[in-house]
Amino acid sequence: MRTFARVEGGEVEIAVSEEAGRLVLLVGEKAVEIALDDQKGPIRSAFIGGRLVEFGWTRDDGTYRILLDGVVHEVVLRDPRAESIARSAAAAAPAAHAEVRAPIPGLIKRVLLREGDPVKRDQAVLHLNAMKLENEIASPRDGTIRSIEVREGQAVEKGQALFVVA
Amino acid sequence: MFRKLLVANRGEIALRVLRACREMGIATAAVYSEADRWAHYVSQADEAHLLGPPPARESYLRIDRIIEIAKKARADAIHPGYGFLAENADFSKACGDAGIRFVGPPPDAIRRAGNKIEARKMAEANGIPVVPGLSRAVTESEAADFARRHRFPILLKAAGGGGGRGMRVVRDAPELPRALREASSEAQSAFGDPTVFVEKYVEKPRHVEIQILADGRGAVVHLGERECSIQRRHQKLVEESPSVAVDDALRERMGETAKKIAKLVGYRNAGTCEFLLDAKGNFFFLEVNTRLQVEHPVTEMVTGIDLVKQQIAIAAGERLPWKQEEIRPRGHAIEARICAEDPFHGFAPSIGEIAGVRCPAGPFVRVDTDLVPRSRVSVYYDSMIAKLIAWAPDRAQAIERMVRALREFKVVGVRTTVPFHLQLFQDRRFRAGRIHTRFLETEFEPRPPGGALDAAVLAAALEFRRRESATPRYASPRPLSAWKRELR
Repeated sequence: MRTFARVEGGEVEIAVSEEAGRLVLLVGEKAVEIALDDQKGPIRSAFIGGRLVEFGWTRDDGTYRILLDGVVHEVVLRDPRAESIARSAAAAAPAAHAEVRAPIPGLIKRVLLREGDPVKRDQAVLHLNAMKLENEIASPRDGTIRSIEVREGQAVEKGQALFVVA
Repeated sequence: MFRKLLVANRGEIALRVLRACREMGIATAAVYSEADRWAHYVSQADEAHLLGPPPARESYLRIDRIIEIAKKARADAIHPGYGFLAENADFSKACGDAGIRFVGPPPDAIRRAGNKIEARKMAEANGIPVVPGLSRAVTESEAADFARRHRFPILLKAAGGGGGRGMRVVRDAPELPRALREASSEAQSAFGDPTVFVEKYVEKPRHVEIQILADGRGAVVHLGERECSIQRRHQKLVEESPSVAVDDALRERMGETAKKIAKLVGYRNAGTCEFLLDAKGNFFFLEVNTRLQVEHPVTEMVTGIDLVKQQIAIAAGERLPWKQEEIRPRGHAIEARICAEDPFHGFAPSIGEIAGVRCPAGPFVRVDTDLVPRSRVSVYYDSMIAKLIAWAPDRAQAIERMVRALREFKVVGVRTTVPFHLQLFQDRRFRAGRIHTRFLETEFEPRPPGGALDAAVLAAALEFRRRESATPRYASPRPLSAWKRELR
């Protein structure tokens, strides 16, 4: 199996093969032997080379979240073939408007402007309550509010569209 | 003693109170919002009642619903935990009016002590030192005028506040209007009172607080101090007892001051007097927290006193069983608040389902948490998911024990502050006790973590095994021998 693993902004190519019941991973030029335990749950252990590590894991399609020493590393595994197809299809035009997304998950506390309202750069458009603190979410530029994608009292996920300034 | 106690809270503190009741032989009733239907604490009560939809104001802040449920359940006492209605005088009064004992101070004491402006005035009138400030609601121009006289930075604080909500440090004039707006709005939504006052901002103080117990019959004791200087945006992250900055003589003076304040406001039950301590050992009274504190376990660990049981005993009319000199703290305890936040990206909240959790254990380690596999961490409530407490004969050993326990702690499904704590407890300045309330802001930055490559190879190995088990055996071009399968 060959895969590209993207983690923390970097990407490595990993080739996995099995030799005599052991997994040998070729990471770039370097060979690493891995022995996974026989557990099924989200907390497991493994030998990486000679080192024993205890780790947590979850998977969401090709995205693995690996917990090591308390830190969650998001690892996106990509198939090289699917990758080349996606590359040839990629074409993006520059946006004529700015979409503002939630920087953190939270609750929409207050919406201050309405569609069609003129807005200045850095002017507060809505208030987002995250856990306990209230944050003003401001417009990134001068313009007009083209749309407000949320209502007061609504819970939003990180990255969810909040409003569009045109 | 009470027959049945209703716990008007959720999560780890609800579980904490339920445990105390179980040990005291008191039947329990839990309440929950729709988001907490399957929370662990709900299953630990003798009975449980639905409050309403997930938002707190439609569930855990519904005084009318909670009283109605308590009456229906024939509970004779209500424990409010911390947060939500714990410092709400109207709630204390509503309990009394319904003939149900509120485990906490009477409404008058909550009003007098819990309002920061009132508490300041009371302290000033009785010769208790406070930070320079205006003991009244301020307008923008008054705050600006105060800042001109006392120079920036200044601190805006909500009169009804706590936990850093409705609080803003203002470092120069242009920041003031927005800070005042945000503080006031936050104060309104958190405490239902938009009143904001102003104080001179004290640079690099320590936050030291004194735990008190008052039985309402004239007896008041203090249980020593907790240092809570490790804070981020006024939210405490680490607490310990004793403080490295407090010697016996200072403890005696601060303790006696706290007891004096408790008597002045007619206090009853458990409470905390918060102080700022400057580098010269001067302390300034901040406020009284009229509730059980999040960090109460560190006091329990050094004194051996179960604060929740004492709260319940006091509410039931019992006298304090000890004199001041019989309270002898022993050793050192530290608490780390574990939050579902990403410490490497501005402590952004991390929500999701807990896939797995393994709590630390072993000698002198305590974990207060409501987390179990499949728990959901939602945006509706506080991000704190666990408290890890370690005790040892001295501070250095307590820190080593904390590091050991943090390494054992595995929470899978959300990002947590565990790696932040691991770095903090190994920091030389922290270990030397050279800390202050702006330590995190000005002197400590979590280093980006290593381990990315290990994570990548583990993910690749897991994926390989997954694809292999997903592939039907007959399609395998090279069937494995039984010998190889055994080795897996």
